[in-house]
Amino acid sequence: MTEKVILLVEDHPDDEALTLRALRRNNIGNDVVVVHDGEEALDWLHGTGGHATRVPRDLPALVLLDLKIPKIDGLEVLRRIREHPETSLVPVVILTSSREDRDRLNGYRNGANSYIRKPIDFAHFVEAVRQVGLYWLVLNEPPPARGT
Amino acid sequence: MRRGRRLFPSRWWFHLPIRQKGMVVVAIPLLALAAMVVLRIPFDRQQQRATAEREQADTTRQLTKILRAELLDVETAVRGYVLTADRTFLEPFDAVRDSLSSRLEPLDAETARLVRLELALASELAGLVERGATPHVPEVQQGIRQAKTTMDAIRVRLGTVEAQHAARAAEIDAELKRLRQLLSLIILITVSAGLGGAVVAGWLFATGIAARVTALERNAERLADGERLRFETSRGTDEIGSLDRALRRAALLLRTRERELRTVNKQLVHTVHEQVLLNRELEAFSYSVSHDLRAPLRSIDGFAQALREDWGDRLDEAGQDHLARVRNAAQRMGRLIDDLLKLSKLTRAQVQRVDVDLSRLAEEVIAELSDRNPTRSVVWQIEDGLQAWCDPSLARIALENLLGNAWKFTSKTADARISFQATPGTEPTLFVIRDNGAGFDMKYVDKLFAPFQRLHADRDFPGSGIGLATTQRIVRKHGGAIRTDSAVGAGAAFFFTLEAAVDAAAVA
Repeated sequence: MTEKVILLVEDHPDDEALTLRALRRNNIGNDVVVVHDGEEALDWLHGTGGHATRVPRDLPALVLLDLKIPKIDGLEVLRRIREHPETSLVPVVILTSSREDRDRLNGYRNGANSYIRKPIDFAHFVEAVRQVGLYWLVLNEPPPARGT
Repeated sequence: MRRGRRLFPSRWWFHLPIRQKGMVVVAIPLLALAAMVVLRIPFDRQQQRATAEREQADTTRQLTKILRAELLDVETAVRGYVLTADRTFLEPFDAVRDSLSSRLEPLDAETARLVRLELALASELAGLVERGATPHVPEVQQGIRQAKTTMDAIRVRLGTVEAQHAARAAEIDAELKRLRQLLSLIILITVSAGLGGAVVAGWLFATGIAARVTALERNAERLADGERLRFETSRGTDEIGSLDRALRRAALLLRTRERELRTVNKQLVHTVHEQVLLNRELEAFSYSVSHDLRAPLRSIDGFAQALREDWGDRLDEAGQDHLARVRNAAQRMGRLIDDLLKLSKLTRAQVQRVDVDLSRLAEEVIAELSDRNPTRSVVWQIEDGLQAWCDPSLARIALENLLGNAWKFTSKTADARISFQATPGTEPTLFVIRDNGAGFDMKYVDKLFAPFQRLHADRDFPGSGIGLATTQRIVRKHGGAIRTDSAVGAGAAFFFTLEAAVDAAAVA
């Protein structure tokens, strides 16, 4: 059985590098697919646009979603993920700098499974990623795949 | 120009005070009545006099009639006695002889003399007969003739008197009739004048008072309804005129105030609108700060850490130290940003008051502080039952800052003591948090509550300088005040209220 991929939606190269480093340092071996804006994220998930060849049924184990991303913002991406029947049950963890009440509120309203604020201290960030990975990739039992 | 102005000839009526107007209105018919009474007086007197005179004349006539009849009786009696010498004939004469002479007073002197003469002659004749004289005795005959002559003279005189009195009576009657006619005329004239006066008084009342008061009332009602005054009420300087002018002044004032209010209101709406825009901008700014300012800090810290992990073996101790400083700086700036955001969020927060048990809140805060610093030993003294009408979450932040400060600044004190009490007899309650820590120089008290201002070096007592600024904002949002008292090395006391002071001097 192949490990499922993690979809990282992150436009900033620094954050992308640091997140990947944090995952690696926690020995999370899943493949990580990185997309850089909201449109690409949805295309990848739904097998549309530039990712038309991808089989949408092959869902990621986890989506790490930044809120402030180009083209379609994170909250809207989340809303469409939940709207789409294929992706409505995918675990989505919001990973963002913002701690604004309304972002948190809208995040949960739109169906986020968790809301993590990226700490400035990298050590704390590594720890956060570790816990997220442990919880969502190991502890948590995902919903049954469709058609099985 | 109104009809009334031309109709009423003089302006004085409108300048007359209402009391005098009332007097005029009442006086007009009263004057007519008084005139009637006064004018009647001489007529009444004249009438009385005439009536009395008339009665006098009647009495006199009556008297002369009786007198004539009695004298006739006397003549007849004496003649009968002379002819018959029968004494019974003399009885009527005896009956009147004594009384007659006493009733002669109303007659004139000559007539009275003649009557007395007639009576004397009669007595003389009677005496002659008594002494035996017969009718043929010359003395008797002469006596009879003399008596007759006197009697005739009396008759003539009495007739004249009677005629005179009759004429006088007729004269008086005519005068009385004339008087009665005159009196009727006077009554007619005065009653007409009285009625006319009443009509005039009524008209004066209607135009001078009633109509103007009605107009005034309508104007007052229009004013009350916020409409413009319409009814002309008052020229003149009487009370109604004054009222009218006062009403017009009030209307003018009201219109001016309304205009001012509208202007101020417009400005206020504008200001509020600007405020809303400003708030929105501030919110957008805070959002942007929280997001965008943190991202590069994360990169600085993250890559510094990556450098240390991946290339640490190539760095000497100084290089390691530099890296550590880079990370420290990034993290401190992150905390500053977070504090700044908290402060700006607080500025926008709404105060939602409930009854809050501050004692319990303080105990919770202290429990947290103790948990975080289990090695510290601090003596706490929290008064029981401290109550405040305030926002519980904001009050908690304020207590966290004040008690946290006390905790922090007693960290170098051997027997650290911190207390939280209410000042007895204060309204609203003046709370005080005291510590025996490092304290500060009151010279710098102005800087104490400004954000990011610190009175202690970070290495001695770390902090961002946002705690007291936050606390002051919370207190002010509640309408309260905060002040402090301290000296270097002698601890600090923070006095604060969480409700608007009835007496502003309570805290100042």
